[in-house]
Amino acid sequence: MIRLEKLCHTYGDFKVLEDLSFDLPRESITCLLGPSGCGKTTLLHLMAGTLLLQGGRITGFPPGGISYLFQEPRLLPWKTLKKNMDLVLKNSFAREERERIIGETLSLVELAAFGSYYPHQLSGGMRQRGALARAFAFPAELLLMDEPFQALDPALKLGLMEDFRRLWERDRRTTLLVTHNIQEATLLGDHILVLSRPPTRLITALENPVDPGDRQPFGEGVLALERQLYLTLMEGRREEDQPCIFPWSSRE
Amino acid sequence: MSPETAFSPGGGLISRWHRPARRFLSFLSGVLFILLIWKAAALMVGSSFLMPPPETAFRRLFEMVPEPGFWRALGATALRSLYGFFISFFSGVLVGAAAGLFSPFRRMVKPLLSVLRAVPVMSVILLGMLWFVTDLVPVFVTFLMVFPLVCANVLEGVMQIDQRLLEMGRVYRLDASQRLVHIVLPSLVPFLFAAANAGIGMAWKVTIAAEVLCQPRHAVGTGIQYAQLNLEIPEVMAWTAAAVILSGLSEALLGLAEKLFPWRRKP
Repeated sequence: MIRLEKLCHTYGDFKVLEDLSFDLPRESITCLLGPSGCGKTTLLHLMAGTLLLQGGRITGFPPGGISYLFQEPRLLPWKTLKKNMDLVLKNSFAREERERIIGETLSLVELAAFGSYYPHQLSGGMRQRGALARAFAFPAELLLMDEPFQALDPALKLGLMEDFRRLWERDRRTTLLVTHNIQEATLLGDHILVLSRPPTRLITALENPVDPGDRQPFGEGVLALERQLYLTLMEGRREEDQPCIFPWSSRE
Repeated sequence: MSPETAFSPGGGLISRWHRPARRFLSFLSGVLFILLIWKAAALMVGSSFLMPPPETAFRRLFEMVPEPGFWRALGATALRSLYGFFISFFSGVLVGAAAGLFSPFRRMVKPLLSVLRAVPVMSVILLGMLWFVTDLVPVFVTFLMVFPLVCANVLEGVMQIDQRLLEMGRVYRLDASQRLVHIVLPSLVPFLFAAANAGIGMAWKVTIAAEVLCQPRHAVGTGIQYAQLNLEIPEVMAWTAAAVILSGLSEALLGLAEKLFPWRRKP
């Protein structure tokens, strides 16, 4: 289990994280749900080591580094899809092994025929699937995902989420997905943590009651969980004296 | 649609094999347009002495072509231009990259670039004539004129490297040399080509301008100067046309080099 304890982070005078603590259970998908600007990306950077910890500690990192799926694909425009994947595998595997891994992973995201294409020759959804394949090809036990589905249209998003789930089931990596989208949290998250506005604290932690195989968009259990999460987020707003002007945002 | 075919912008279906021919035709029509303007200007001036028409200039050029002196002058000018260009290109890349990476060095280099960009070419040529042997003056002048151009382009390129790609490299544990080779250097390629394209054109112009003033034994600039003194205006035009053709050839070579980087081709 990866444990994050009393994380604090400030940008100048702006306090983003304040004593934020939670655990990431192994081999499951933990989803951090919070409003924009609540420090979700900051938290991922702290975990990835691209930002220095200002306070608190993170323990229990699995060996073998971190895989990261960014908001944008971040494929190198001057390399084909295969070469983009090959580059991140170079330090870990011999050539034949790399070729095998790349072939297998590209097949799983239905991009096997596009390995020799440059990113500009692929659509936005294909590029993000390529980035997904790169993240899963990289041999890391921990996968961090920073709102990777947010820039896609609904149909593409669901397709990519299915691809993600298929890849995830293969090697069940410990995954932290941050998002502000309730549907992504309910469809993918096994554990859902709801964050407040900055200075960010944990509002609530839920277990997804719906079995991963039964999670369908607009499914009964999923919708009930979505409603519960929505009300929790709204409750958080009310506690911060944020006016709720829409009638449906009130519990009454 | 077969892979050998593609839709043309006009909507018709054309073979890919026709594309180079179409490009060549566009290029040819551009050249014809310039010749037409030249011819029209010559007709308007009405004096073949002051403004010889293109056919007169090209006739003179064809007369000059068999002369060994023409090729010696052309070769010497080309060598001076290319020396000047390559020295300024490589030093510009080194200084520009260092300035982009280290901000104290950047603050030192920026005033130097501003001064070099503002210095009049003629002052540099006249000073160069005092400091160097005749053959080196055009190289020196070309260096001083092209270096700031290349340096500024590379500096800009380093400043514009996509930090998100570098972050991706760090997250996926690429070491510093891998990040340099696979992320930093390819990011600079468009800026290097922009610098080379602008630099090579300027190198020809500046080299010939310097040759006109300092008059090396074999040089296009010297040929232009002698022709002008003898009031041989078609010969001035012929030398100029030869210089333009050389410059065009060097740009075409750079265009071919760009094809080595397929991701730069338009989708």
